[in-house]
Amino acid sequence: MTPDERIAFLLRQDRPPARDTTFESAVMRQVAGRTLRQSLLKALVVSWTGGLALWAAAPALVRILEPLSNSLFGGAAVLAATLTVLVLVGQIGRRAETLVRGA
Amino acid sequence: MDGPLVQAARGGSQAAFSRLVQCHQQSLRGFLRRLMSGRADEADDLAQEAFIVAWSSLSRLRAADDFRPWLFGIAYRKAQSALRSGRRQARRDGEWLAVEAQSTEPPLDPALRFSLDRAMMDLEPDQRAAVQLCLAEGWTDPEAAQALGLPLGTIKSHVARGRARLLAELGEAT
Repeated sequence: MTPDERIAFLLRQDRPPARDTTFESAVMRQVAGRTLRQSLLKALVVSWTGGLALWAAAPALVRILEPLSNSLFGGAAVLAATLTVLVLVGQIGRRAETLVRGA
Repeated sequence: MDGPLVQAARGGSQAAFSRLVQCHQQSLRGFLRRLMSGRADEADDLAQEAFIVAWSSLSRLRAADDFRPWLFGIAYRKAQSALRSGRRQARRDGEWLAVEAQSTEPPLDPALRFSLDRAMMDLEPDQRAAVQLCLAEGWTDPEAAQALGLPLGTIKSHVARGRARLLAELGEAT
């Protein structure tokens, strides 16, 4: 063993094991926590900005949407009623089919 | 070598970053333990902090393949702050005994170990860091210069002085 190899060997004595799942998982837990916090912060900023923009644009939106909603009111009501009936009929049909199969 | 993993981690892959942690934790913690004079818990905390900082600032790493020196540079600066903040005294308290108990390697001759630890403790932190990276971890001088933010000539002289100091100490011990 050369002097340099000897020094290297001695200095490497304090090394932790090559695989240390406790340490690795502790690091990754912190990484996950930080990522979650950043995502939440981003979502908060986006929702606040969006809310603020909507609040600022509300008067203009009301002016545009009010006449539109008045003209669409009749059609929208019919459309909603049709969709509700279709959904209910579909559910009843599926139940009946299940009962028939069970029998 | 680390390039593809770094690229994937930059894209948000925690699995890729976990692999990087797995690859570098041993040498980084060994480096910090030596730098912190054997205070293993403190060194491990610094290593964790260094990995977290690395994760948060991966976008600032210019060349993905330079991950290792960049990571060690972060850790080195953290260790320097820790050493500066009034912990120098504790470093000299002979905590090498605790490290000896935790070591997984075959036990060394205690006199030899004491000589080595004393010689390393006598070195300045930047000298110790250069010696550990170049002599123990087998880094090249330019790599160590990049990680420690020191001129290449300084690294060469630190390593030469540290090597001479260690050899003299070991020569006395054996």
